[in-house]
Amino acid sequence: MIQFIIASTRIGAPILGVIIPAVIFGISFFVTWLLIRHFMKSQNSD
Amino acid sequence: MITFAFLDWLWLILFVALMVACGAIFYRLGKRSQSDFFLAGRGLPWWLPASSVYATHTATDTPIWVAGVVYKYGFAGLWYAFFAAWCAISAFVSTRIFRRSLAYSQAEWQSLRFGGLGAEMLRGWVAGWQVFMNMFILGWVGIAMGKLCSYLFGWDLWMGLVIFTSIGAVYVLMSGYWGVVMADFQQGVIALLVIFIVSIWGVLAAGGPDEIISKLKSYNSTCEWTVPTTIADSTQAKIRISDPESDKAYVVSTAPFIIRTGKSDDTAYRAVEIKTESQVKNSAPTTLAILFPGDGDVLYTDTDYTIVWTAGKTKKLVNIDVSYDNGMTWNAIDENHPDGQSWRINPFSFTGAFKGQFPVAWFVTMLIIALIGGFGMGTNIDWYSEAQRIQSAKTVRDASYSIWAGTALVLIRNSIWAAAIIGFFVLYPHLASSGEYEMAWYRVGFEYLPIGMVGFLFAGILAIHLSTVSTQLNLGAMYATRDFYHHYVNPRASESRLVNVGRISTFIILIGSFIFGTIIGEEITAWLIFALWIMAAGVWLPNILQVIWWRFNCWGYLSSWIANLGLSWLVVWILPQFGVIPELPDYMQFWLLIVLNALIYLPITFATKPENMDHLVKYYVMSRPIGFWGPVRKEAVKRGLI
Repeated sequence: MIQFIIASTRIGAPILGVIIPAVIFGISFFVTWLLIRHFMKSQNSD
Repeated sequence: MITFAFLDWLWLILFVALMVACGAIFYRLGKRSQSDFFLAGRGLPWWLPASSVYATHTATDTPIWVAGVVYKYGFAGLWYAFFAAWCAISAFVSTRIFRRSLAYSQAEWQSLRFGGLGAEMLRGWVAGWQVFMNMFILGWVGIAMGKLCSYLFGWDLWMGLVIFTSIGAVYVLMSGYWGVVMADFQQGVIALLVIFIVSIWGVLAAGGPDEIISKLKSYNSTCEWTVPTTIADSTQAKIRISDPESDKAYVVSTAPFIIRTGKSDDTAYRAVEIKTESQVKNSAPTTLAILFPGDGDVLYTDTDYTIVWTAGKTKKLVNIDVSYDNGMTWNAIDENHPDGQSWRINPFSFTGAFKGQFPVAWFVTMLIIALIGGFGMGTNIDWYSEAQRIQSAKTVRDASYSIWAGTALVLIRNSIWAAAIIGFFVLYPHLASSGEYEMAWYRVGFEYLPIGMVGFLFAGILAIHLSTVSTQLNLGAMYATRDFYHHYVNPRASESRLVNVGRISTFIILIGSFIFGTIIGEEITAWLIFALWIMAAGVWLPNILQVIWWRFNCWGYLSSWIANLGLSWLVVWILPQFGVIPELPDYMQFWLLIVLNALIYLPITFATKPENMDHLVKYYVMSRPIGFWGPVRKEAVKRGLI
């Protein structure tokens, strides 16, 4: 017996739905780029 | 159901593309050799396996069962997840011993530790078990994803299971462990940030930390109750709250309520929920009274309800009893149950030495399992995936740091989740069905985050899911390839053939996981607790003995595994079903299984010969174990090897 009532009130301005995911996507992209650069370079030099 | 806006879809697609690309781009490195496909060439700095430890152990089902135990037991429920602390000692003991051995897997390590026919049998057995367990774990995390998608999008359970586990399989098939560990790092970063953000929102939704504490102090007392199926239709029943020490009733229902057989319909059940929610939150009555169930209430058998009574008018702990014969006899619903709700923010809210939901005996058992378990290998189900991370670290020191740091993050993560779940309790203190409150953390995210962040949250959940399924797929394939195919079928296989066998194994495990996921269904918590606790209980001590005691041999170890498989089912399910033993609390089951299993494997150990001394000396010199290794060490010194 599972019943979910979705709250009508969301907390925070809608613009946060752009800013926060964009910042985290940017961090993730940067981290990924650093990883690829580091390991591809070190493997090529082996 | 949730409706995604354009922004939600945009973030979801971008994040999924980034995660899959991050894993797939290491295709060239993964295909070079078996060592690359399964251990990333054993050259990783500590922070990569550490992030992989953290990401792997953050699965889709983890917030479900952490929410389940924290909603039910308050912060004390966090101790359920404390078993992860085995790494605190393991990082400096068994991790180092295992890394020095250079074994790919736990099954291979055992063939180095033990010798002869028994070791071969053990290697095959452990490898087979691990392939099975990986399918099983994939099934349960997959079905958790299915359950979530069912809640979000109204999909059938199997759809979420199949679609999102298959996405993870894409980069595992391409890049093997290289893809797993690189994507894990990125997914770990995304998941940690998402967990932080949702948890902050959860606390804010409940009004902030001060408001949460204040509301918990004012809320009335509650106790979950599933009405037994054995009660006859139209039975009149009463509830009483009594003193655990004197058994004297503090208060008894003023009028009986009715129990009906069959299941309540959703509308009737929702009406009960609205009523109990108001009664828990409204602390108006000043005298002690049972607020629910009361006069005129109709309860149905095999249905979960929340009993509500006025808080703060009794001692700290109370018994809750039910009578079906107008108070002539009373049956316990719960013993030593905490009064009020303030206890939820105390992680040490013990309910006595042995009784109640959080007894000292349970806590001590958990500490022993967590801390002493670190001296062994395989004392916890997580060991097998950690073992792969340990071997992928470039040095022994990197391996130690990675295990310690990864697990520290896991424990910190649980605390962050718990704050949001306590906030959720303040908002919805009346939920009696575990199926509802287990979704607490997800509900906070999907109900309170702004538009756009809902899709981003789902991307974060996918990060959590993919990091776990990718690990289990690659780990299961490693056992199938390294310990079966390479060891038994084709020892001279080329590196490219082994990589291909790894990919085929990955695919077979993927299909197997779909079958297991469908079998497990919605009973996630029950399966989890059984698998984590009980199926590991009987072999907990042998897993330590194999590391620290030279005399423990493969026959002892093998017999403990086989015996435990039967004993765990007997002690947990079969014997209580036939009334041979009572249904024991989980910590009692643990200790009983420890003793029963020891009665089998210790005589077998002493009745069979010790391992060959040449074999033991070779292992000792390579791995340098701690513990009771005197005769082996003496022999190694005599031979001038150390």
